[in-house]
Amino acid sequence: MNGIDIHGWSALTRLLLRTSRLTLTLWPLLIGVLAFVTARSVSGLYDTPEKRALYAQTVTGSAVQAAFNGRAYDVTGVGGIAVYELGFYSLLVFPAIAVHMAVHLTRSQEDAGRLDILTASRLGRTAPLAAAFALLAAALGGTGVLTWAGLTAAGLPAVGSAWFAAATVASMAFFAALGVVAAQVAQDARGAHGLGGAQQRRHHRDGLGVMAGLYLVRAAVDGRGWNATWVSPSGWFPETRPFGDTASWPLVAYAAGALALAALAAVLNVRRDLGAGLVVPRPGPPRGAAALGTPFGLTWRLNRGALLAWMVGIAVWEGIFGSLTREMRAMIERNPGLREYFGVTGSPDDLMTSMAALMGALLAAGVGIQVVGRLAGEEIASRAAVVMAAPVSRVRWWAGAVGVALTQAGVVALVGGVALGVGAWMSTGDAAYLRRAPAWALAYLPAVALVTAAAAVVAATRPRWHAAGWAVFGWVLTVAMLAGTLRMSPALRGTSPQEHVGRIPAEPLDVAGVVIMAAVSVALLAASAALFRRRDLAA
Amino acid sequence: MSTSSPPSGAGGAPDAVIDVRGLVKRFGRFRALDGLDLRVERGEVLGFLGPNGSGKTTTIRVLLGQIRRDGGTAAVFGRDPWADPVRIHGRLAYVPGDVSLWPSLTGGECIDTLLRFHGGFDPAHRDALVKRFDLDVTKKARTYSKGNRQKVALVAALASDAELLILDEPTSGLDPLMEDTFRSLIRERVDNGDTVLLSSHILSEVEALCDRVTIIRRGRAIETGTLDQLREHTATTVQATFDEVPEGLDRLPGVGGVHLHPLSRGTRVTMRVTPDGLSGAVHAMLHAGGQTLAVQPPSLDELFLARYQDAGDAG
Ligand SMILES: Nc1ncnc2c1ncn2[C@@H]1O[C@H](COP(=O)(O)OP(=O)(O)OP(=O)(O)O)[C@@H](O)[C@H]1O
Ligand SMILES: [Mg+2]
Repeated sequence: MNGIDIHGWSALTRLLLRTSRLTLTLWPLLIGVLAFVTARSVSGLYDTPEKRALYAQTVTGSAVQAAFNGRAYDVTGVGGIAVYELGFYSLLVFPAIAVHMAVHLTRSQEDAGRLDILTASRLGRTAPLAAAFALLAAALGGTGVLTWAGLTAAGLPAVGSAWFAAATVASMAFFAALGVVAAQVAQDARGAHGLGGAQQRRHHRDGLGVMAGLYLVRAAVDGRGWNATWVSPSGWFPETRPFGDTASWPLVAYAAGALALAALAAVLNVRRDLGAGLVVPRPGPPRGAAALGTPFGLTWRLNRGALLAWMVGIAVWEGIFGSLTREMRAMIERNPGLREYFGVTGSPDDLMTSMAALMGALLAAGVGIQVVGRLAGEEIASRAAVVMAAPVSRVRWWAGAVGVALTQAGVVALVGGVALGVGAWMSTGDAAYLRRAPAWALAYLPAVALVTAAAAVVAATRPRWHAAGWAVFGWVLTVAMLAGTLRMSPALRGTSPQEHVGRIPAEPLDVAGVVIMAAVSVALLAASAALFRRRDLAA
Repeated sequence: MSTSSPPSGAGGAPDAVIDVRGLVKRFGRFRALDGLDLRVERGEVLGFLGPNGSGKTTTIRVLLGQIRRDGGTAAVFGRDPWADPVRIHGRLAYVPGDVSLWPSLTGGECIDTLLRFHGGFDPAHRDALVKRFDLDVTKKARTYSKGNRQKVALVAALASDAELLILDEPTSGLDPLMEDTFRSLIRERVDNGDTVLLSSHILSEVEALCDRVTIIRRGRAIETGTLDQLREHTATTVQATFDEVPEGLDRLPGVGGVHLHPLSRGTRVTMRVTPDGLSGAVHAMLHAGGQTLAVQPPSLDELFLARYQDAGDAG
């Protein structure tokens, strides 16, 4: 193709490998470990045909399970159960990791201005893209091997494990290619060195948004049991059926999609570079509003766009899960034994709504972590230092900025609660949901604040470690999704804040737990401010 | 440790806006500042010079309370910048050498944001400065060139009512026309009685603006004085031609770096002579039958190069 020139890609690959070592090794390793521990737990938990039959009976036809984990296949065997327990990860989390790696390997390098010094030497225009693809291929290859090793080490059949590993690699390749396209699409005026960050976040948002959209389409289809799961690539994964009647068409479809997206990315890459000068940036206001002159106001403004995207995202997400409430009710009415199995004492609707409320809280905590991360970014980019060269104390700046993190997390949580209420009301006709669902969101707020405060402590200690806030997120997600499967001890579960809220609304609210979490959050926030005040600014 | 109190009047003249003594700052085991002394008097422009990595930015970051000193004292307006930054910051403005702006805000929004954090400002003054720097403030900061980003920070600093300007290589990336604008604006501020600490690598800028300079190397101030005082301490170049080169030129007091350059007829001798050895050397050469004699005072470059290099490079 005209304009494609990858001269120098191998040197660039080596450089990228050095700067992205952690990303490239950590994710495949985590995925492999997760596959191993899940498969091992499942073999222990469902060690008799009777137990497996009961499992199959409960998940088959469960709207909640179908919406979150996808279609259930072959769940009468240990392999199938392991696949299904990993469903949420295979369908949403692993693709998200793939998008993240793709954006990281393509745009973050470019946005940081690191490429400019290299493109000045003899480097083909498409070489950075080629290098990113090479490393993505290597990382996904590693993921495949580690996943296969994890499943077989846990005692699952080698062939089925290989099918699962292949499906994981294929779907991640598809979503990684999607991420690369997202990284090329957003046109931005280039040459703004050292200002990266913002663009990279936009690419993340675009890529993850499309990916989450595909997941939600599938959730809506599967949750209603429609026979149309193929409409979304997110629904192709379970169709591989690694431990049953295997099908290769999903692998072929993912591979073809990945290749098509990669080709599209290459075309866009060439266009983008040629067309960069043609984009006339729109002029903006010549004066700044008064609100920009406070730490809270400035941070709010910088995170305004992201907040809007999150609000739309969570409204769609919670709305869709809320709208599946009636499906769950119908299922339980058809099969009263299920009520006992799930331990539901109140309304059968609670199964769906409690899961959705928990997910909403998690997303809101993600917002808090993200804003805290941007706060650390302000410091690393030395913009915080310039603001604090004005008569603005460290504590005031910190309080304003962390205040935005908490407020935006709270706003997103409440929007999610309202959307869940509306969805459940439209699904069941029960107007009480309009009041109850936002109340659940409120009950989760201390837990959301706690996660945000933990991220703030990390950023206050060392801003370059702020990504560790996402490790907290990952842990909370794992406890939420896999605590039962992995047979986590109560003490281990207890490290996750959501465990102290109580499984509302299915179970009563743990008032003491919520109050204690609120108190701990306040203490952590105060500690973070104290830490931030005492140390050298990073830049 | 860093909590030792700054000199409060006693010893330090009351007119020192910045008074730094024996300042030490370590990064791990590396001593970025190693007993630095620095004084800036009210109403003066002090040039702060030194090789790359010698500790200028580090000093400024201590003065702004961004980092904590490990030893010595530092006082700005008689206060400790680590313990009492807000009171100090209300009276100063700062321009970093590599300005990072909020990519999603326009230049105008960035300026007003910085000014509002500082306190009240006069919009007319701000607009006049924007015009003088010929800055398009409706552009998003992410599209700005390096020079334009620098202008944003300069406008924000100069439009404030600060009595002290702390400028860390403020004109890096400015074109000569804007450099000229910058110089006249600084002169206007100084005429108003304001004080400036100017870190710079542009010697002509230093010569045009600074009353005194402090030269820092490896975290220590190695020299402070007016440019004339520096000249007095810098070797002069003396050139003479001889039919026959006299013996013992390099043994004359204050003479060094003797070079011989054979010409078609005779030899040209070039040497560097310290100010106190100058009259002796010139006499000796005339005496020895020098046919031509040229005495060249040190150029600005020589003035600094000699001091930057003396003891090898800096950390
Ligand atoms: N945060 C830090 N951690 C470790 N070392 C640092 C840090 N900041 C500065 N240094 C080191 O301290 C020394 C002084 O740096 P500084 O930035 O003050 O130099 P400078 O005089 O401003 O140089 P330049 O003229 O290049 O701007 C350098 O060797 C630098 O590498
Ligand atoms: Mg510097």
